[in-house]
Amino acid sequence: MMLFAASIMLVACQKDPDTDKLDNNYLVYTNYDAETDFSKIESFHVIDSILIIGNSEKPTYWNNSNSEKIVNAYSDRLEACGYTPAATAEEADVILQLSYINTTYYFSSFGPGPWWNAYPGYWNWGGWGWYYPYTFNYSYSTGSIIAELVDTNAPNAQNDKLRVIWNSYICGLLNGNNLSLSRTMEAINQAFVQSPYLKK
Amino acid sequence: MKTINKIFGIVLFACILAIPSKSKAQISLDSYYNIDWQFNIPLGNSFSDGASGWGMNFEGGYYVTQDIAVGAFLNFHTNNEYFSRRTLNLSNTLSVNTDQQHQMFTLPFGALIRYRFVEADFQPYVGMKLGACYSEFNNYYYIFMKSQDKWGFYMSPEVGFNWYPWPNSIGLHFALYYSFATNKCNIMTYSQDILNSIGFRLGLAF
Repeated sequence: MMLFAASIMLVACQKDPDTDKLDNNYLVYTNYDAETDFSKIESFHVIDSILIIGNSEKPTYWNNSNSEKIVNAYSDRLEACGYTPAATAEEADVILQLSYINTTYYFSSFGPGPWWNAYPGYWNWGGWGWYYPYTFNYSYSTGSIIAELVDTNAPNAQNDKLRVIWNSYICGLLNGNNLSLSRTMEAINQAFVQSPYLKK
Repeated sequence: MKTINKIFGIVLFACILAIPSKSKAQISLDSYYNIDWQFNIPLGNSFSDGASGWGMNFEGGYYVTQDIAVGAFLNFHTNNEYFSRRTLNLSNTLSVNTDQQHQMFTLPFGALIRYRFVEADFQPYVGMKLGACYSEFNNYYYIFMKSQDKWGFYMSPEVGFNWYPWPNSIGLHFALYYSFATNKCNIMTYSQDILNSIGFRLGLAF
């Protein structure tokens, strides 16, 4: 009886881990389409505005010196992979679209399934739309950047959706309420370090 | 820790009240109770192999013969391990770069048998514990956590002694143990089929 009573009390005695050891820096997810031959890509174009995913019904974009540095960082890394920058999206083999998660409202209020279907103004190329050819199941948080590399060479672009052939999701970019640009740059670099298949 | 100390005090007080007094060093000649602090060292555990003293053991037995006791036990332990920043390949195409804090909590309970070599103030013994083991495996990374609860079979041989240096009073307990549990864990890239560990217990004997 005494042991039973003790057991009931002791189930709650689990020692909490010391999460202070976690560096609280960025987290970087990357994923890619295994069917894509990345060495055949010639040119890329990075959209120069970053879509802000908040709780607004209207699409808003992030355009200032910080966003420009982030866009340039992605562009520089793709160029370092051996791909050639194209002046316009129409001229490029692949397009990189960037989105910044300002709030997770649209991730928590729309059940399972592709969340972008519910987000007003999310990237939609020429009305064709696009899709992930691979599955993903991330936990999203505020202060995160989603990068999606979209293949513009769909078999029949007028009818088929475009494929996302690579994506990165980096979070932990806020320092208090402000974006840590240095940490963001580190995380962008890490996204390419752990994606060695992105190579011409 | 305050909670554990409080519980320890309550159980100790209950033990003292529950056990009849006899004019021997050991309070009860036909039964025993142990309450221990426990130090556990996981062996070959890929999920969490950090040794720790975050555990306790409770057990009691009744001597069905002069030297053989049967009874019940319950103990719990937490082992943590920090994993520095690294890239984990979660599938053929999916990778994640993060640091992690792993936590393994085990709570075995069941039946025991103990053989004491002498009925005296100093009672060396060998024993075996058999039962079920509940376990939790938690992986903390950034602000996220992945967790698994598992059940398994538990077996733990041990050697030790109860020592009663004072008449009609509590004694001391010490034990060395090995434990084996069939609990499985599969979180992210970390997979574990069985739980092996060794350790020791230091506490009170009644």
